[in-house]
Parts: sequence; structure tokens; C-alpha cells
Amino acid sequence: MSVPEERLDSPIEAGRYAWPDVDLDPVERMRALTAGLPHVAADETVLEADFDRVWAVIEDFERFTPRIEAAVGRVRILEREGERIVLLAKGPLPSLSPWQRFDVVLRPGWCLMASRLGDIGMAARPEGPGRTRFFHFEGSALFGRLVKPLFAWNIRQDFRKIRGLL
Amino acid sequence: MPEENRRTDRARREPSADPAPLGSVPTLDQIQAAQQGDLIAMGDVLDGLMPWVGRLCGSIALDAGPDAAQETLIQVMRDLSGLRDPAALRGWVRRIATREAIRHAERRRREPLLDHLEETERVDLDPSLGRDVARVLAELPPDQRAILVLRDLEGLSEAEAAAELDVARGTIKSRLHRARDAFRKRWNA
Repeated sequence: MSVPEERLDSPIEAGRYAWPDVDLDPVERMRALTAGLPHVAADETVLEADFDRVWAVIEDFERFTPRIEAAVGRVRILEREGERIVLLAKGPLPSLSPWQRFDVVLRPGWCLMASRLGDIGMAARPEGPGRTRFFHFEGSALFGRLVKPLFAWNIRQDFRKIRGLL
Repeated sequence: MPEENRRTDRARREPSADPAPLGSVPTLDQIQAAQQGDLIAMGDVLDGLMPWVGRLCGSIALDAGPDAAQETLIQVMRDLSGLRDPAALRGWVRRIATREAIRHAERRRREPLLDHLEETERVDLDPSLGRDVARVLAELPPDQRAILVLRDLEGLSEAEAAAELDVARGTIKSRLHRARDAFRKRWNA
């Protein structure tokens, strides 16, 4: 938008053009979101890799999720429309585990995955050259807060496995 | 969470060109689903509120805006399930954002002025007018910035703004007069 040359003489008029504005990065937004999810465990780390490299691993569900999540043996994308994805995931013993549906919102630096059994979130932002801050939560409203320590442990395993894929 | 982590790499948008409500206002269905713990709906509500909260907090708290915005959204997400009337979301969020923005701005104001100005410079609201408005606003106390935002940006009535800031209507009237006068003088200086 072009800025007029003449002087503005009221905050109302000035405000038509330029009220100061701020934004939060995906990690900050996800920290805020997590405040509304008392059943999830959350943790964050800094990965020694560019943001693009990290996010290429995170968003390739079919290829990498089974290598990160021990509870997942296979992933299949069912639908994809813009940021919205529906995917199906099976456990590590495919013949014994049913497909589980996940509703997903995915964009660079931001991923939410919701199923009947659990909630997962991942967010990332560049943190200096060759480094990426990575935030991750997992939990299950169905099983409640009692199992949070298990999810916290699992998140640390996820960090280790993601590092191994970078 | 370490303060240095909370304040790194924060993006600030170009100055807003449009005073109309920003973002996509969450629908009642989204709000209700989010209140029941639907993760995807919670993300939608957060996405919908972010641009608007960012402008409220940015305009009142200036360089402390990111901290105020994050604190606002943390409170909103934490307490959303307890909001009795989902249709009242906007007013509820505005009140939290205004309070947090004033609180963070007051706290930042007590920090050394030099740091404050240097950080304002780094806000990078260039080109031209955005930085000028931010600089003029920076010379007003946070409570005057808040009343300008509520009346001139949000379009609240004096009674509504008084309720929002928890002050008497007469106080709003005089504070607004002083704020507009101070803004005009500095703007045209």
C-alpha cells in the first residue's frame, strides 16, 4: 500500500496506514496452544540441521514417521487438501493393529495430528545458521495425565531418532 | 522457559494497512469444538486470533508486543474451555490482550531507555510510516496507547473502553483527549 505524502494529523488517520504489529513464530504459537492441553507432555530441543532439512523429515509421514515413532509401523495418506490431511497409521505389527485415522494440519514449521486416541504437535523455527529449534508434544485425553511421563519419555526418544535421520 | 528463547527470532509484520479486524474470526462451531478439546479446532482458533492479537499487543506494547501476545494466547488457550459464552470470545480476548500489553509495556518502560530505543529501531517497521507511528506511540505512556487502540483501532465506545480498562468513563474521556492531543503534537512536530 502506498503511503501518502501529506502529513497525517490524527491517530485515526495514521492508524489507517500503520498500526505496529507483531507475530509469533510456530514454536511460540505451539507453546501457547499447549497451555490448553493439560493431558500432553511437551519438550523442545535444538537440532543441528537447517530448518528445511528438519522439516523435510517431519512432513514426509509415509517415509519417516515409522522410523521415528516406535508405535507406528506404516502410514498412508488418505486425503490432502491444502494444509489439511487425513492419514491412516498402523502399529508395528500390521496384521494385529487396525488402521487409525489422524486429522492433520501441516504447513512449514507447524504440524498438528489428532486421532481418537491421542494428540500430537510439532513445531520448528530456524535458530541461527544450521540450527533449528524443535518443539514437540504428545498425549492422550483418553488416558489422561497419568500417562504423561510415558509420553515425555517417548518425546525424548523421538528427538534421538530425528537426530539420527538428519 | 528461558527469556532469551522467548525473545529470539521473532517476526514482526509489515505495518497493518487495514484497520478492519484481522485474521479469520473463529466460528462458533470452531470455538465450541476447541472448548471440548478438539486439537484441530484449537489450532484454528489460535490461527484466527493471532493477527488480531498481534496488532493489539504490537500497538500497545510495541517492542514488548511479542511477549504480551504470547502471554495473551497462553491465557486464552488455557482458559478457553471455561468461557461460558463462545460468542463473547472476541471481547474476552481483547480484555486479556489489553491487560497483558499494558503490563508488559509498563515493565519494559522501566528498563533502560537506550535498550528500548535500540530495540525499537530493530523492530524494522520500515518503510517509512510504520516506523514513524511506532516511534510516536513509543513516546506515549502505555495507558494512552491502550485507549487510542481501543477507541481508534478497535472502534469501541467510551463506555466499552472504560469497561475494558476498568476505569471510570470520565477518565477515559480525559485520557483519550490527552492521548490524541499528544499523538497529534508529536506526529506533526
